[in-house]
Amino acid sequence: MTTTSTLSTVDTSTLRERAAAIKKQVLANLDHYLVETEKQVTAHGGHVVFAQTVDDAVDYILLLAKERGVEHFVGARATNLANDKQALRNEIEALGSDLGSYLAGRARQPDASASYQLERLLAAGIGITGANFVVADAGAICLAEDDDFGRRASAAPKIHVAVAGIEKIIPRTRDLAVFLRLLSARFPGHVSLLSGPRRTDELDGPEEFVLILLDGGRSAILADAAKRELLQCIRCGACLARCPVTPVGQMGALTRLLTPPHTASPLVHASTLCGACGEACPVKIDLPRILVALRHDDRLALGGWRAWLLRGWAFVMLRPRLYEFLGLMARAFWPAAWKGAKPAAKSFRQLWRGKGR
Amino acid sequence: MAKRVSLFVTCMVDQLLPKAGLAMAEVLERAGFDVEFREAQTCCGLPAYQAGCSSQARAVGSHFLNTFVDADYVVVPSTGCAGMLSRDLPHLFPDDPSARTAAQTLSTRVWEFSRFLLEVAKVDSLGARFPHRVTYFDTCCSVPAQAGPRTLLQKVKDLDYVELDGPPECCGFGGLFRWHAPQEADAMTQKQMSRILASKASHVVGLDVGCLLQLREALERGKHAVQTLHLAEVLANQ
Ligand code: SF4
Repeated sequence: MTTTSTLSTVDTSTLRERAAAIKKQVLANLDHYLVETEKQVTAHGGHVVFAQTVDDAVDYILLLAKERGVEHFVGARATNLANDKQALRNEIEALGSDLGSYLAGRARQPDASASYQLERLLAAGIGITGANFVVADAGAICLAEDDDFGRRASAAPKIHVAVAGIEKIIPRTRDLAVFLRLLSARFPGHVSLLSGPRRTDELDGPEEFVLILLDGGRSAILADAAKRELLQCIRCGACLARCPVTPVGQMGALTRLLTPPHTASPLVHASTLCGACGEACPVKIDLPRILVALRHDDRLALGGWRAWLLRGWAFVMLRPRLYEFLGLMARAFWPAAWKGAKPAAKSFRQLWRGKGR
Repeated sequence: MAKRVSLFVTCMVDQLLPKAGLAMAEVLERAGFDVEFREAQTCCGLPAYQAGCSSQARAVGSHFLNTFVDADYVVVPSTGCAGMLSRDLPHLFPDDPSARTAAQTLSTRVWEFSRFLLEVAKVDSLGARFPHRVTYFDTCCSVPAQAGPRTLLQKVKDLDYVELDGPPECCGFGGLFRWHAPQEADAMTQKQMSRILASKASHVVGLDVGCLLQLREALERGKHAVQTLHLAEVLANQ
């Protein structure tokens, strides 16, 4: 028997193992990779800025614009950010934590694809993009898009500002072979690897390149063992695509951890924990476990009558005789109109005793 | 001497679907085990654990631990509860090393019914016969599809097995999920019901009682004749 092995037939489970291991390794040594990234970006003529919060990133961009006399910005998602601080803020927030092409395509303003004007691009002094990956050893960012808006926004204006969460770092260029394949299992796209500003022998590209590495609450997540894995996320959207509930709202509850105010929403309760998301995740994030961990977070814990009901339930479950008695009562007085989970005529323990055991 | 297995029938089987528990006991006895039922047992704690009520989950989990601490094998008829007991039980005691160790030890002795039959009892033929068109529904947390229960169904004489179309998907039960998203839960159940109906099976078999009851209710409400059965009920049939 002959076996043929091509790139496309590489075993996905091996790729997932690799991807998860690489991400774990980066997160465990993030301080090292941040320094490495800065070193390499600088060596390629770019500039790295560390931003603690989204507001810090916004302030930095506004300052940069003022210094360079720039009046117009373009973003890869919103076409014209003018000098509107809130729009810029939203853009940065979205780019820093965006859900990848899967959602970017839907979230883009409707006018964007139709009237994305080249003139507007050329008039802009600053183009702002996100980054799917930050490649430490190349000092580069990688954009993987299902259109080329990001690429254009990076190349046309004089200054390219890329905003990336600190968790987007991968160690080596060759790791892209693993990650891009896991991303591109779901969408075909434009992949750009961008490092530094335009070089003297190049025809286009920005004159200045700035990479803003955004913490935005990520180091707090990193410090929390129960949620740490979440930072492995490559924003591929596979978990959303596979969720049988209301995908965007449900898994969105998790990804909201990555945006201010860095708390998940009560939506974490709206999951059956069926496991489809964790199964789909190419970097093997145990999403159901993280959902449960969040439910155990005091701020998201059940309140009101539901909490009381569970307290009562536990009280009963710790007392086998009371439990059996209440079962008998439920049988005796079960309203005929209530179908659903109607108790059986006799409980298992009654039947078992009846068999003379 | 025959090996001893302890049934943990779960609160749902005890109260709502006792025939699944009896069938499980019968199959285990036929496979050569001494079967016992400990009366102190109630629930595994899953509802509280999933709802995020740590202290309640821990209390009920300790109760399970105390009840079964000296059991050789604990066999469970529900995939959801078995997952809770074999995977999550130790997580209930982050600050109590001795309980944690005890939970870890016990959790390795907890077996979901079909896995127990295949991996511990290593059953070959069970002498079961079931002359109907049957499909298997991958119940609670069985993503991806599980081979075990299908292997067991293939051992049943005269059983006409039909696979459902498409990948396994959640039935919409999910414990307290209905509290939070009743409409989504209904939509999910309807979707799975259509898959089952499309298979033209007369019986749908599963391994989690929560899922089975959820599907049964939907099928009854829709006045469909398809019967829901626990795998043990099929295997016990002769
Ligand atoms: S499947 Fe995993 S990597 Fe992809 S978006 Fe979901 S959590 Fe992130």
